[in-house]
Amino acid sequence: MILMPSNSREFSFTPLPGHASSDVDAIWRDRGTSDRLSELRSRHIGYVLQHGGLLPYLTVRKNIDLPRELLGLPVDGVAAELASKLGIEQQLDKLPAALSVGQRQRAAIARALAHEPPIVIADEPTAAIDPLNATRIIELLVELVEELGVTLILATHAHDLVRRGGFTLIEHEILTIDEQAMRVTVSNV
Amino acid sequence: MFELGQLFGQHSKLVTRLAFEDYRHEWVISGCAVLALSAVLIPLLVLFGLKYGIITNLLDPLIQNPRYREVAPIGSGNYDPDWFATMQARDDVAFVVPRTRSLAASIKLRAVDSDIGRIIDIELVPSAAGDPVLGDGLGTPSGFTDIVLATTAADKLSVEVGDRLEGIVTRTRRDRQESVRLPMQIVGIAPITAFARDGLFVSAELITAVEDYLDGRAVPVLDWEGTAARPSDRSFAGFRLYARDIEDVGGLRDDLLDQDIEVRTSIADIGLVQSLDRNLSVVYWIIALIAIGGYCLSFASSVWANVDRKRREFSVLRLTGFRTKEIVWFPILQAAFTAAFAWLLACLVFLAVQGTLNALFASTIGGGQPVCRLQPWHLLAAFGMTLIAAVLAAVVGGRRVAELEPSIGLRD
Repeated sequence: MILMPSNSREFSFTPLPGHASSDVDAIWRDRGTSDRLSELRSRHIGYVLQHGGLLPYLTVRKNIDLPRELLGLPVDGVAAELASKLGIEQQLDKLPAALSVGQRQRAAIARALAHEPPIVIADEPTAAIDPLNATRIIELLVELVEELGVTLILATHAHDLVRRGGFTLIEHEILTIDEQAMRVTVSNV
Repeated sequence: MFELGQLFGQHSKLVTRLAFEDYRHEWVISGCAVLALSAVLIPLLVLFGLKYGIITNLLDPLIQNPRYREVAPIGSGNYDPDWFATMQARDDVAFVVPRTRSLAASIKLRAVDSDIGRIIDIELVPSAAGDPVLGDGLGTPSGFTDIVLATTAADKLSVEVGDRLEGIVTRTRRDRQESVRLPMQIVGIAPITAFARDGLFVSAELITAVEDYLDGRAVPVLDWEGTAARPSDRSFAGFRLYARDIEDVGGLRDDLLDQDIEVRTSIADIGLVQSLDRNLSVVYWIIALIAIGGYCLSFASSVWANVDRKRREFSVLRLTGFRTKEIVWFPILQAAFTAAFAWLLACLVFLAVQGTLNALFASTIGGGQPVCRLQPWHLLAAFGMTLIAAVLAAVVGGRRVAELEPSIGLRD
């Protein structure tokens, strides 16, 4: 988990070696051409973006199925099962525009997990959600990643929310990532 | 071996489906793009339809009437069998047959089976299989009996196909008038559009025999008496020659002039229409290129703006795992959809406009023929050109997509 001070600038994630499962190390080592990175993203990483990142022209069901279709995996029932766990089974055949912000984020979580990636990167997934919904979404996210054995990389300003989720915080520190040396430095401000 | 997947990526069907889902979802913007392209295509189709219709109306009579393909000698010449063989072998010559003299020979003709005892003077016209004046299905003059009769003569003699005729050839030799009778059978009636005078289309051997008889010579094959028969390798005074196409008339005329053979052609009439066609084509293509060029610039800029508007969605696709070479097809495919729908709409509107124009003007300025028309292949060619123009314009958008980083979805 990467926790940022509320006044810090956002930054892009890079999988961190030594901080997660062996899959992460494999991804780090295999990074190469743009096509190879695309393949690695499709197979190993699920994304939950701040704005949800659902494609507005696909229904929730098709959005959730998309990563599996890209990998050529069967899609039967996967979207329905995840939607049921996230409480959005009634929204499956609607377009994202017809959903509330909270429902969109739940759909985004379902899409991030649909192809069973070893890593999920969540970039401030509760930033645009009311506190009550935010808590519930973090709880659902944590439940699902634990159930599926997924490494979660979560960026958020919501320290209290994360504390309630049972995480240990390292506050006011800066991560410096040296890609060439494959080294991550954590230092006090 | 080259595979489509190398160009299009491995997920061509999925990308095509997503591109169409997006295109359909944004139906207002897509509809505007279709209308904008149709607005360029419709006037171009109508203009081309008018040009093609008018030029076709002018060219059709020239193409259909073999008279415009005739290359006729002026005065007498001396053409041996080798010359005819050489001309017949040329690709630009559709038909050539010898004439025995520059002015047409004539005989008297009467109907054997008709009650009308009328005898008419009739012009002999040498003919053979493939005579463009007679066309297909009219019967072919052959031997000494099978002839094709012009309509005017058939009307005067009240005869029809299958009736028998008798030709009477009269000559004066040694101050005595002599004549022979020649039984004939009508194998076809030539329409008035083919030959407007009293004419008798006969084989080259029959007309040669008649000419020889008129010249006082014997024709042993028909037991006609006279002076010594002509040798078989005789020369002829003239010819009936038709070019294969109206485009060939000019070249044939020039070649014959090079051989010091003065000829008469309809090249002036043909040239006038061809010149009109060329000039109208130049004007049309100038208008078309300006319109298409302007549209391409406009479309390219709108595709660029559209890609910029959707850059977050493209970055999401990249994050999901689509490759650059797969998502660059998004704007290109959507441009192809626009081209297809716009072309379809333009064709429908063109057909309606075509019907209206033809109803209004066919009887007044079209001579009963449609003034606005296009062939199916014209419409297909228009689709091809529309598709190419739209796709080329959209390549700008594809390039913009290729520049988008997956991280935009995280940063925005």
